[in-house]
Amino acid sequence: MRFHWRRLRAGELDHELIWLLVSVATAVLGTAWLRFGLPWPRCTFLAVTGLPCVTCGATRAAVAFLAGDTIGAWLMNPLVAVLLCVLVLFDLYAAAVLIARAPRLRISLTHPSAWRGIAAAAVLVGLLNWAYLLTL
Amino acid sequence: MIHISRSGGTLGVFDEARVREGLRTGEFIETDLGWTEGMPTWRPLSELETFTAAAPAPTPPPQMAMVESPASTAAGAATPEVSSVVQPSGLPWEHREQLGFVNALFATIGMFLTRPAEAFTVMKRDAGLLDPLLYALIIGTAGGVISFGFSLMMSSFGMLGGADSALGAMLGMGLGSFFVLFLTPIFVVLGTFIGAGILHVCLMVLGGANRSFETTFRVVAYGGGSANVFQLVPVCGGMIAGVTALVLYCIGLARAHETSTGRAVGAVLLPAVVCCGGIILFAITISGMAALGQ
Repeated sequence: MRFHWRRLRAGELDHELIWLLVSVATAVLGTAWLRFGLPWPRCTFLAVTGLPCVTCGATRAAVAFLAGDTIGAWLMNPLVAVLLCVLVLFDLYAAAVLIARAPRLRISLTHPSAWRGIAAAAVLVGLLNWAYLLTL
Repeated sequence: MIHISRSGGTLGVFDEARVREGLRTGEFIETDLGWTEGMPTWRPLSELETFTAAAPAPTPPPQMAMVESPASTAAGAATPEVSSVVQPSGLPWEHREQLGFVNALFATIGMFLTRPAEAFTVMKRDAGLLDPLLYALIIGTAGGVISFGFSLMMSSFGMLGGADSALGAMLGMGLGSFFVLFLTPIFVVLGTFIGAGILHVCLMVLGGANRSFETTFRVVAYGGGSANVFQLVPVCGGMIAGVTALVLYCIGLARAHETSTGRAVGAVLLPAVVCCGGIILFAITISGMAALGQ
């Protein structure tokens, strides 16, 4: 895996702008939705089996995270808490490079099999998170 | 039968009516080259005054290409070789300046709902986000608003309210109208980006992402947008739209990313496996609840 900085090419998608806008807009709308007490979908897996799914607690974790309670978010769903931290870091990075018109960080895989390793790691992390939720 | 070619590659063999329809809908363009048996060489479709009837014994068309290769001329070939790369011609929606806005919209919807494999084959892979986003936005907003209208008529939109939430009840029955009308376009845009992002990550995990996020986004916007037409169906329209969207995503990812159907289906179903459907189930649930009422 190789990290490098480069300018956007002509016609290339500006992922920093797109995902910064999407994440901020989603956070605002999600906050408004919950503030108004509007319904949130129940976990079908939990309803059917009585066991939590991999993302159970994500909404509660997000609410705790937005309230500044990162430890509470971690306890409710560690995977979601980590992803939210990564999202915040990404948003800060995206805002910085957009304001400064700086080169963008790009990641390229140096070996074709790298994706398999990343996919395997993602599955393992998901399973570990699920195992934690099952113990709650 | 007419052989159609573009950018040095063949698009296939079609009958006259099909070519006429394709020219009307934008599937084919006038600069595409056509050949039928008896013609000495390929000619632009715009120069074919009449389309000849099918020949009794079809023979291979003469070879052609946009750029003549030295090898073929040296060998004395009458026509150059065919390139193996076929550039998709684009959907009618992407030719709406020629076809007209309404014609292009309905032709694209019809194409996705009746011939989805063909639609995703002719869809351009990397031609920007704006065209598909506009398409999804128009149909998604119209579908959402009309679906909301059905819900109001059936007095079922009280789902947004709740016995334990006065503000929620007020939103559901009163302010909810504005909430839906003004926020539906925003939900459509965000849903398209987030849905495409999730599907692309799933496709990457399964090793089927042979093209960029842009391609996945175009599949989700065009597929989901077309499926949203079913929101116009009262009561069960949301569910039909949800299921249709899933089917279109499977076909679209397989075609546009040139990956196996198994990987495409896996990428579409992976969110359901991981988090009970996540956004997909959420969308279906909300639509279904809105339609069916409490």
